[in-house]
Amino acid sequence: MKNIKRAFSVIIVFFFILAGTSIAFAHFGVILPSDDIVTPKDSKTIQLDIKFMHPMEGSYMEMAKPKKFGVLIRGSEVKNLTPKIQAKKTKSPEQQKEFTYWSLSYSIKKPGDYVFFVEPQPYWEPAEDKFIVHYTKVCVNAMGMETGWDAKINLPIEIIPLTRPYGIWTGNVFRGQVLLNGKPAPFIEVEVEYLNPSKGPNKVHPPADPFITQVIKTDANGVFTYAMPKAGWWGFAALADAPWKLKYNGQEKNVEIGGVFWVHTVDMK
Amino acid sequence: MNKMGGFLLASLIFVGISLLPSLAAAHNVQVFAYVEDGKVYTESYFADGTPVKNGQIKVFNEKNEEILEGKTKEDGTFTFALPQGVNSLRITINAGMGHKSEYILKKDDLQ
Repeated sequence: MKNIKRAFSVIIVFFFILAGTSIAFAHFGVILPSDDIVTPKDSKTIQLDIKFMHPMEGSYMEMAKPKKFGVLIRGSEVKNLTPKIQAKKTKSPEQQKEFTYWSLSYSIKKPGDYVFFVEPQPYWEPAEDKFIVHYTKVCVNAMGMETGWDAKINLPIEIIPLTRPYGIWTGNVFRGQVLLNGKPAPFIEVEVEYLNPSKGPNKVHPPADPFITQVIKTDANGVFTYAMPKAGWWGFAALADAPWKLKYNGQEKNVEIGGVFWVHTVDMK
Repeated sequence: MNKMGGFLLASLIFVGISLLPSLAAAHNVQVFAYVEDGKVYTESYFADGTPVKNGQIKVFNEKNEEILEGKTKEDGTFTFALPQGVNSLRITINAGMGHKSEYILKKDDLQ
């Protein structure tokens, strides 16, 4: 009887650990460029990594080959870059096995804003009993022509920046409007995470779980605001339930869709 | 004559003052260039993307000798045939009002 009780409490504790991790770890689609402001003196070829991860923990999830990866140049010209992306493997120091992410090198041909975007394959998350699809964007400015950063890709859910999304100081606010099916999305949650380096002086140690993922909500016009307290990359994920379902083992399951935007802050000095 | 001079001075000051805000508000001018199929394509623009119209383009070789010049079109572009036997090109834009910039095409960029 004592043994059974002990086994039972172990199971309970194990369950709480599992539940705890799934709550604390927010998923984020990531597109990380090697440079977000390309000047005439910089290399015109940049590297872009496409990942699915928990940014604050720095841990990875397996990422299937995205359905589509592309770029919108100067807000008018769309290029499909899906055939150019290549699979790579990586892991965080705490992870045992390696996970797939995607990468490409891209040569900038003309000045303007380059909004890169990805439509991933749905990711099955058993801990949340749903699929996750994060439509993710990042903006790279080339050679001083600030045109196109606020352009729409027309994704099912999408953040349109109201703050120019590059050349941002640490402590600045980032404002954006969330569009769901092209219309402003009032009072929906936007999760914010810092892309925490695995080591070095910039590594952040959250003192409690609520610090890992910052949670804000859009206002009546679908607009959110967040001040970024540290230099580095910040991810904003506007979340909604998709109006469609997907099947897993023959059963219809909910789909969480996320509109994600990444911005980079730099210390004033 | 004195009256005329005073009027001229006043007009000049007025013109100067009225131009000042546009100078302060104007963004940096930029010129960008690339080579394709034996042609050099240039594009001149202000930071907000507005094209530089009728801007003066000058092209210099590696010895800093001016080899050609021209004016930008309505869309800020200016195109010319890639000069033979140059190792690098320095392309300058003068959009007036002290708005100048340059772009350098190195040997690798010319191929």
